[in-house]
Amino acid sequence: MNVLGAQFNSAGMSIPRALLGREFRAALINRYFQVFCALSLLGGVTASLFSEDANAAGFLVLQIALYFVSLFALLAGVSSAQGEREEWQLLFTQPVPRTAYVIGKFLALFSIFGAVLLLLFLPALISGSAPRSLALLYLQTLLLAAAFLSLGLAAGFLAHDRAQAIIIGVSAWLVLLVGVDLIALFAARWPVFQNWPDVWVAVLMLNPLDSFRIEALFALQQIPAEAANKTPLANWWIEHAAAWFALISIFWSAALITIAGWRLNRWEE
Amino acid sequence: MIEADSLEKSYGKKKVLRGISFRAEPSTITLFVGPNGAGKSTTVKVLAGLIRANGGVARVNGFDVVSERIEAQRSLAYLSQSPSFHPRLTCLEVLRFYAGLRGVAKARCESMLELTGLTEVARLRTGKLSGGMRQRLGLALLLLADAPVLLLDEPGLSLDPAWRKRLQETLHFEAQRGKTVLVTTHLIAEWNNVADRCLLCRDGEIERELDPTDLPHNFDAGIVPGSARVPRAGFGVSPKQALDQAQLLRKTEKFANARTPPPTRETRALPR
Repeated sequence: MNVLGAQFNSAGMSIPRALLGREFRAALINRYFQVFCALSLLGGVTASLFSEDANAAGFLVLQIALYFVSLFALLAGVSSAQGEREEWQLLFTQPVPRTAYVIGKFLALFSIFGAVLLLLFLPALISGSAPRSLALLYLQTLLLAAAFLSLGLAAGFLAHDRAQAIIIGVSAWLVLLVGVDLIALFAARWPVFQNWPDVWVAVLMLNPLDSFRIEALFALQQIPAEAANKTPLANWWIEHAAAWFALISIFWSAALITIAGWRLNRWEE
Repeated sequence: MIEADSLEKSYGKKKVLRGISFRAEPSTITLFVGPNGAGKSTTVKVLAGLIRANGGVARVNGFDVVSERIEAQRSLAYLSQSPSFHPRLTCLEVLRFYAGLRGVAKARCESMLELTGLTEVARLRTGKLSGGMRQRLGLALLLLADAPVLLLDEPGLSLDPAWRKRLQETLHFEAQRGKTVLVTTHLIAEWNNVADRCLLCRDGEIERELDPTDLPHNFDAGIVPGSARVPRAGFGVSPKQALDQAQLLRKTEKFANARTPPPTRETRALPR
């Protein structure tokens, strides 16, 4: 048995390397990523060519990041989670904690997004947009992508099949993109929000897309924080918008990855 | 070494395992036979860490499959009935990935492909493999980590007769090297005289131990109810073999509802 036991050494770094390597390979042949690369480059070049001034390019890139990056990150997460569903039986007999698969996927996809987003931002940078604000927007877009990658992974692991996963994921995306704002608009007249407007602000603050939108708009337009000095919470939010967005996107990412890991740990044949 | 002690599993109100107990020793091939729904695959999946039993204890190489799951899984390799792989990765990429997970040298992947006759399709995406080739890739993965416990759930259903024979020879060789091999199968006649032990599983229990060198007799007597596949003549199976198997199946179907003989002194002595 000693001969057999010789294989039983700790796999050490080979596990994360294997998980990341596999995700990179799978991403290279993933259609969502191929389309995302092409559209990122096209969006970046278009924003640079057709903007009247350097700040306008940043503003266009912001719109692309808001609608397009969040959706593609979601779809990439769903695709990655569902792509190997039939292999779970074999995967889960390997001596690897199931949560490691989720974390491995997230880290690999996050790194890939980090690289692909350069295609969106580099043309604007080359065309002379303010490098500091563009760098900040790049980092914030990456954090937004992380939150929606996690949402895609959670939807992908929670759903029974790819179609269900896409329906869950895209529905959640639409709710966050427009649903929360519409409900907030409708509910603004309610006495509870009239009496405690900070509760209303808090609802928007907890939504990563609203948080991203507010932070990026105030940063790009260089609007002073006092301009939004309506409630104490709104004032605090605008003053700390960048830090708050980083915090809320990291929180969403961690919570959704935990849900995905929990789901995988409960999965049975 | 595999130890199962009073394993129980239910899906809703349906009890699939009703206290299965057995031991499979190193250097032996243990066959698990029985009709559909007997609990064979569920038992193997519990051992592999894919399913949690509702009661009882299972150990693989001394490690509890629940509380020491990772250690237990490090000691085993599992081959399912129809293994699936990432359809867009090649055979070599799949093997290298699992080699990475198990801390196995990547050079071993090429050896495994050669052993299973897949060298020529090493760079073919697994989505384009035939059922038999996928089974052979599954066999390559089974042997990749050189784990001391091998679990096979209905292996070889998609393999041609020559490769099924090769699979049995490989398992025999691995058992001789000191490994514990557990195989569930319906193809009783094919596995006659291959295993060292044969356990008959029925209604979620180990009903009795059969003589692994005389399985067709048990089949013939209706002890193991209908579950065989009749191989077609040709492709490594002679017309006479196919006819014998068909006659055997007919007899089995005739006795399918026959009650099992009352327990004998030997069957009472079986672990429960």
